Amino acid sequence: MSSTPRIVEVRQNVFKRNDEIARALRQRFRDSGIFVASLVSSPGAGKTAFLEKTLTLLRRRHRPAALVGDLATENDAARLARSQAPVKQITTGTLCHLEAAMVERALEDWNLSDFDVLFIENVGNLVCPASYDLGEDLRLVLLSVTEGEDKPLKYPTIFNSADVAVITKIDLAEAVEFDRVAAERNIQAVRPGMHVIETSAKTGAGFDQWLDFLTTTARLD
Amino acid sequence: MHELSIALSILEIAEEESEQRGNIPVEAIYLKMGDLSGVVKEALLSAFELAAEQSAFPHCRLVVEEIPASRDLQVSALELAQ
Repeated sequence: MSSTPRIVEVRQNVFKRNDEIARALRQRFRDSGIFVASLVSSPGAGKTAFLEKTLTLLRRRHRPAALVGDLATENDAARLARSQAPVKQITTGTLCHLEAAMVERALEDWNLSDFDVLFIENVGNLVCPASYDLGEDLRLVLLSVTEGEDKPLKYPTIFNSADVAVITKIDLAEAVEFDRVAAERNIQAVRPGMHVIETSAKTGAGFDQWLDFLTTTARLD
Repeated sequence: MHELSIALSILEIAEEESEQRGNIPVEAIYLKMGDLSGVVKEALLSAFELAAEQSAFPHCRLVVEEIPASRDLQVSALELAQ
C-alpha cells in the first residue's frame, strides 16, 4: 500500500492569489509615489458624487485619477470625467466586487507616475468587497444619512475592513431625522477608534476636513 | 454573491496540491472559515457543488469549520483518495 497519508495538511489562504496581486500592486503604487484610496458602500450611498467633488477640488493642486467599478454601463465614468481627471470604468459583468487582478488590468495603459493619488470606486455592495485587498493604502466606507444608523451593525465586516467612515448626504440629515450620535456609536462599536467624516457633495460641507485628512494621510503637499 | 469565485479558488488550491502529489484525486477539502471572512457558508456550499462538477474532482466534498472572531479563510487540509 502507498505510504501517502490520507489527510494532508495544506494551510493555504483562499484569497492567496488576490493577496499576492494586491501586494505587488501596493509595491508598484509605493514605487510610483502614488497614494491609493478605495471607496466601498451600498448602491446609491453617493460614492460617485463624493468622488466627483473630491476629484474636482483635488485637481486644483494635485494630479488625481480614478477607476470605477460597476456591473454594467459607463455612466459613472462619464460623471466622474466631468472633473477633468483621468477616469476609467471597470465593468465586472456579474461580479459583485472588484478584485486586485481587475485593478492591475485597468492600469495597464496608464503611467502611474503621471498621478499622485488614485481612487478606486468599488461596486456598490457592503458584503463581497470586504474580502478583497486591492492594494490600496486607505479604504473608505461611505454611509448615507438616508440608509439608517444601524448599517454598521448589519454589515460589520465591511466596516471592519475600512479605515475611515464617510457619512454622506449630510444636507438631508434633518429631513430624514438622522441620529448622528447613534450612527457614531454603531460605527465605534464595530470598529473602535474609526475616523468619521460627515460630508455633503451637494453643499460641499465637510470637504475641507476630508481633503485635509487625505492630503495629510497621503502626504500630498 | 462572491461565493462562486471563492469556490473556484478553493478548488484551484486543491488541484495544485493534488498535482504536486502526483495527481492523487482529492475526496474532501477542509476549510477553516472565520465568521468575519464575509463568506456565507450555505452560499459557499452550493457554489462549491456547482464548481466541483466542472473541476478535476467532481465528487469532492467541502467540509467547513467555522472559526469565531476571525477573518481567515483557509484550506487547512485535504483528504486524498489513497
